[in-house]
Amino acid sequence: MNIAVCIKQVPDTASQLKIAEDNKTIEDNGIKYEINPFDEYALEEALRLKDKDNTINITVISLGPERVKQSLTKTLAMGADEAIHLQTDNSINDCMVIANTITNEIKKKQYDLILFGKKSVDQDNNQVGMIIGEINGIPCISNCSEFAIEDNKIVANREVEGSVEVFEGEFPVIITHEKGKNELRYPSLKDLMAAKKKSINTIDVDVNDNKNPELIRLEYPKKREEGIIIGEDKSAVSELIRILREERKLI
Amino acid sequence: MSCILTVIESKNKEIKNSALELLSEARKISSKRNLDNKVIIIGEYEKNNSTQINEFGINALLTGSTDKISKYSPELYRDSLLHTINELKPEIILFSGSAIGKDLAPRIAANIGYNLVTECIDISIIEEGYEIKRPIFAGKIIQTLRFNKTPIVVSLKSNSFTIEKIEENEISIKQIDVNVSEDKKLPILREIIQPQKEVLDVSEASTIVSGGRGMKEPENFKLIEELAEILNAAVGASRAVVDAGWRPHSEQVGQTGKIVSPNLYIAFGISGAIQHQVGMINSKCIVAVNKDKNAPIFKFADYGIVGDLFEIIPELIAELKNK
Repeated sequence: MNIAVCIKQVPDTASQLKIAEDNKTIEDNGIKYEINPFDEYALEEALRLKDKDNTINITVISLGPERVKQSLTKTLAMGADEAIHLQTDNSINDCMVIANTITNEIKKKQYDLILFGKKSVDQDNNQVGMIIGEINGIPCISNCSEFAIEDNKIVANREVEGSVEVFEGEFPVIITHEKGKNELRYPSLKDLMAAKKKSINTIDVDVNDNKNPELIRLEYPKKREEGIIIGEDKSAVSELIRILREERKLI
Repeated sequence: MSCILTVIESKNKEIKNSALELLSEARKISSKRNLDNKVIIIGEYEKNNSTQINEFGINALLTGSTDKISKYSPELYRDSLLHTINELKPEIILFSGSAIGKDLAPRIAANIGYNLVTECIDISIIEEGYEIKRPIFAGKIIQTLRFNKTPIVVSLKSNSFTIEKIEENEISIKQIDVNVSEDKKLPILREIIQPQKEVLDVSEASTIVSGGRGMKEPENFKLIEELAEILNAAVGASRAVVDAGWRPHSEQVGQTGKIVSPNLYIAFGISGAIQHQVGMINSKCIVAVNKDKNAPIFKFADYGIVGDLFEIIPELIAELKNK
């Protein structure tokens, strides 16, 4: 079985972001990049399948600038078999462009299972997995918290509001992954050193974001005012209830 | 006349609450841009169950309701919608940010070659098209996008638009064809796992009562659950307690959980790390209870109590029960 895991490199979720002077980009200075958390959960699921069946081949694919290589090396250290870097000059955020570029790559091999994180935590678009499914005529089950292979079929739990939908389908299939139930593995220093010697298949792709829509500006959300401390023990409770009920009419 | 097409969902044969925000926004857009205001419901729906849909200035209501698609199927929903879209050629299509909206909107956009913009929090009309605001980096930054070309597909972030009703009007209702293909290769919805007790989801609730590591033990979430029940609220959780296995991931609020904006968010024993903060900072009102007066959450909570939550929650429960 061939599995592709598509990952995006994003700023660390703890990053404090600064809008650059052009009001359209984020300052790159001091940002630490990491694998998009949802993509890492997807990769973990693939690695767990491989733990049980060593004939499984895992290819990790990532689109982005030079720095993406560092994340790809990490996935090799975690246990992926191959890494493909679709190298661009800049980071690409246009979902249609991303989907078409990744499509060109996944067509080159017969993948049975193609995994994505449900969304990237930088642009929060939540689109690419489904679009690639549509372009390629491959069924996509989105927002899954876990999946299993049973009798050569995929059984995936899709998280929806207040319940879980269990979908069953045939291969090939695309899954977009929620945060999983399994803990992520961390590569050892030894694995990381060994992975640095493995080669990453780099393919230069000449793509750019479309100009429609046009990005007009970035801004910070309105800052919340610091509120008030009502009290320091349970005697503050009646005042809190009064405020929420009478002043704010929230309860 | 060109049209706006709004895709709404039903649950138990009624339209879902999230639809009301969409319908309010659709009416505004349709009147400003002089568009026919058409709405499509997919899933089972009976008009008699709710009359509220008449109060949004809709010109035509299309229903694809048949028991064949009572359960969600991405492909069947997609095909029924595409059929209608190809007939109507709307200039703008609105989806909700629900689980179905998130899954369906990209499929539709990919098939008809429209641009899709998700998680919108503001739509303004400009001469050539639309200017749309949406949060990125989980809300640390807001971006404004300008669409000079229509058509577009837009999905709205829940709890970001006000519900405005107008006088009731008569709506023409038309049943649309739903072609059910029998393709064996498509994934099928085998079962739906419901929690033992029906729970409100954090993404849909107007009040959320959340607990963090300060709850000390998973059993102590009984207090949170009891308070949530009294307030008709959803139970939320911080990443720390979800990772520890105390609470399910469906309750996690934050960057790798759900990004919520309820009217009231009450946080117990949550310090307010940035990843949690971005998930709830757009709540209309935030209340924090924490015994550490230096907890970051007090920097952005509207009301705080610095104290022992094991004293404060029982007191809240007692006083609220007492009215």
